[in-house]
This record gives sequence, structure tokens and C-alpha cells, in this order.
Amino acid sequence: MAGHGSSRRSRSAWWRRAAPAALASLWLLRGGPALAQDENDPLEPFNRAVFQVNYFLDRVLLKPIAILYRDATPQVVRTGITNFLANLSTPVVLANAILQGNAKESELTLGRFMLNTILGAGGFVDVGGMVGMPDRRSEDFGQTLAVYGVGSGPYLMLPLLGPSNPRDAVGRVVDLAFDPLFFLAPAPVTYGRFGVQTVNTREQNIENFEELERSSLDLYAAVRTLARQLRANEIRNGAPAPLEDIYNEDVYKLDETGEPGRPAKPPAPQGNGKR
Amino acid sequence: MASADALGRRPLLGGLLGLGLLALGVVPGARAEPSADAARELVETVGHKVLSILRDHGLSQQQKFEQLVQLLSGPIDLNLVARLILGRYWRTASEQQRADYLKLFRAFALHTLATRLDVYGGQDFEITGAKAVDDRDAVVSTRIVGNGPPVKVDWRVRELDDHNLVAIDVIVEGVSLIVTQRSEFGAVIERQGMDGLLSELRRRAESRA
Repeated sequence: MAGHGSSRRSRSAWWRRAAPAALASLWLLRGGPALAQDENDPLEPFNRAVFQVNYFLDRVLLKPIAILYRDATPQVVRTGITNFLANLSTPVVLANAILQGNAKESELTLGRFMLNTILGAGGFVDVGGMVGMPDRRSEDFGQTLAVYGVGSGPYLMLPLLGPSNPRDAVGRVVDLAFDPLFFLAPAPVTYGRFGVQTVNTREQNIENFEELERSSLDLYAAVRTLARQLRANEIRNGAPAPLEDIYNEDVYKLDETGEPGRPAKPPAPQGNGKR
Repeated sequence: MASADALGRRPLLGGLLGLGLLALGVVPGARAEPSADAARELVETVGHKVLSILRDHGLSQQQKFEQLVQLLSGPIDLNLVARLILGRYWRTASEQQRADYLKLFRAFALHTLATRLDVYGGQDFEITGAKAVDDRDAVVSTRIVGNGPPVKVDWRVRELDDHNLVAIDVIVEGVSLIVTQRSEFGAVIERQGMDGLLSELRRRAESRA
């Protein structure tokens, strides 16, 4: 389901680029549970361990800071910060929109940047949104690679950074090259920006994540599938997912023809064919 | 305020389950072709009924919940959703496991609905499109508007063999209820077996009671 089509063809591409991750994979692959393959998570034991560390750090550090941040700032300030950070990421978004050959989005991104920077107090006010521009889309080099058919590779839980995969991890590094601020600003500014961004995003998801903690039976697996689906949605720019396979099992027939042990191969459609 | 705003921005798993229930109704006399129009009508009709219950200030939380279950349950097909979520594991489950699973899943879904009435009451929706995707399914697209930015929610509606229409999936900003639950239940089954999933669901049901 997670990009089976293209991942096989392109495996060699990310494999060469993501040398450290690839080495880690080779080393850990042997221990991977064979049954996890449809989740494409051969490193699951390693990933689960990293997840536990990240989750611990979140509880003792990131979440408390996000709550302090929420208590100390009014919503309007946080919205302004969100807008400002999004505006700062314009060069990266624009570069990738261009690389993806998306002229309309490139134009919108550039237009919004000028509008918000000049009329929106340096980006704190989303003037573009006020005059009816469509919602911002994030673009990054991981998405650009995906658009050109590079598969994600196996799921990776990165220390501190969270859910990812070799393709997107490489993308993050490449995106630094598109970011003038990364070269121009002194290191403390870069760290500060990353810190604010992390806390700001965490604040926006306080309730969402609590809800997830309450409702999920396996938090690691819930985060894995949500990260993957949200990422796929970003890559498709919100277009509908091609999910047909999951609806194709005719469950009403399963009762009669159930063949225990057989993988789910959808039975041929009965009766009336495609219209 | 702020919390509702954040929820509106990206309602995740719990939201999915609860929202999924909202359209799990059946339109009794709708026996037309599995056309996009009929699916649209289903989502529109049931959606408005749900909102009118949620906004009825004369009702207690408990009454709202009961009326919703009534509206959505009579001909509700939670069992179909439950089976789609289990996917291939349904085949290998024993009769007893299947029966237990359907019962526990129902409790799981209803509980999620009950805890989220307030969130849904403050929201409204508009239908932005509907199209048939194959010979029995159609997807109805909606925008849910609450305190925060609008959220794109797609409803997958299926025509059953008896020509009744049921919603089988809800997809919030690209996150599908079926995919999410299937993935999570699958992970529990891989690690602890079907009985592990059942005892996990049972443990939750008991901790609520």
C-alpha cells in the first residue's frame, strides 16, 4: 500500500544516496520481523526503541515547553509566529515547487511571499489568505523526489526528528541547500528558528496527540500509519488517495469462501461488471 | 478556544472514528443506481440530522448520544466497517473470535462517538463534490468548518447487494479511518495475535465501565 509500485523500481536510487541509513538497515535487517512487510518497517525493533526515547523526551521536555508556550502567548501571537515561519520557508517551498514543474504553485508561493512580507509585517500576517489565496502547501525535497518516482524506502523513526524514511531524510538535508537563511544567519538564529518551529508545531497538536494516546491500542503503530498517510497526502497535494485495494475485499463473501492462511487476494468481482 | 482550534486543524484518530459514525446511516428507500447523487444525498441528509441533534439545547449529553445511536444504528452497518478494518485477519479468525471482535469494536466505536459530541456540535459542513469511483462505491467530498481552518473530509459510500447505501470510510485530510485502524489493529495482531487484540479491546471496554 505504501507506494509499492514505485518503491521497487527506485530502491537503488535512495540506497546509494542514503549511505548511513542504508548501512544501519543492512545491519539491523536480519533482526526484522518477517511479518511486518506490508507496513514496510523492517527496522521495527530499532524504530520502536527510538520511538520510546522520543516519546519520553516529549513527555518530560517538549510537551511541557509547548504548554508553557501556549500559556504565555495569546492565539493571535501564535498564529503570527506560524505565518512568519511559513513565510521564512518560502525559498525551500518555491525551489521544490519549481523542481516539480508546478508553475501555478510556484507563482502562488512567490506572490504570497511578496504580499505577506511587504503588507503583512514581514510575514506575521497572512495577507494572501485574507485575499482568498488557497491554503499553503508545503513542499520539500523529499516530496520532489517522490514526484519523480523515488519510493520512500522503509519507515525510519529518527532520534529527536520523528517519523521519516530514507528518501525524506535525504530530502531534509538537501533542503538546507535551498535555504538562504541557513547560510546567511549565524548558528544561534538557525537553532532558535528550529526550536521555535518545533515548539510551535507541538503546541498545535497538544490535543490531537492526547486524543491519539487515549484512543490508540498501539501508539507506535498509530503514529506510523498517520505519519505515512499525512505525508502521502502532502505529496499528492491533497488529491484523493488510490486506496482501492483496501475496499476490494468482498467481506460478505469472506464468510463462505474463507480460506484460512491465504493472504488477502480480492476475489474477482461478482456479477455486474464495471459500468 | 485554543483547543478547539487545534482540533479543527487536524483531527486525528479519535476524530476519524467519531466522524466515521456520523454518516454510517442508511437511507431506507434509496434504491437507485449507486450513483454519486444518491451518495451525496445520504451524506447530506444524515449529516444535517446529526447536527440538529447535536445542537438541540433541550437534550442532555446522554439523550444526544442515545438519539445519535438511534439515528445511526437501526440499519447501521458497523459490522461491515469492522470487517473491512480487520481485512485479511478476518479470514483466519475463528467464529468465536469474529463474534467477540464485532461486539468489542462496536463498543469501541460508540465510546469514541460519546466522547466527542461537543467537538462535532460546534462544526458545520458543506458538500463540495461527489463522484462514483467504481460500480458500487462513490466518494462524497465535504468541507468541515469549525473554529479553525476548514478540514477536507471525504466519505466513501457503498451500495450493498440489497441496494441500501452505507458509508464505509471517512478520509480526513488524506487520513483514512479504515487504513488507520487496520494498520493499528494489524500491528497488535502481529505482536500478540488475534486474542491479544481482543483482550486489548476488552481491557479498554472494562476500564471505561
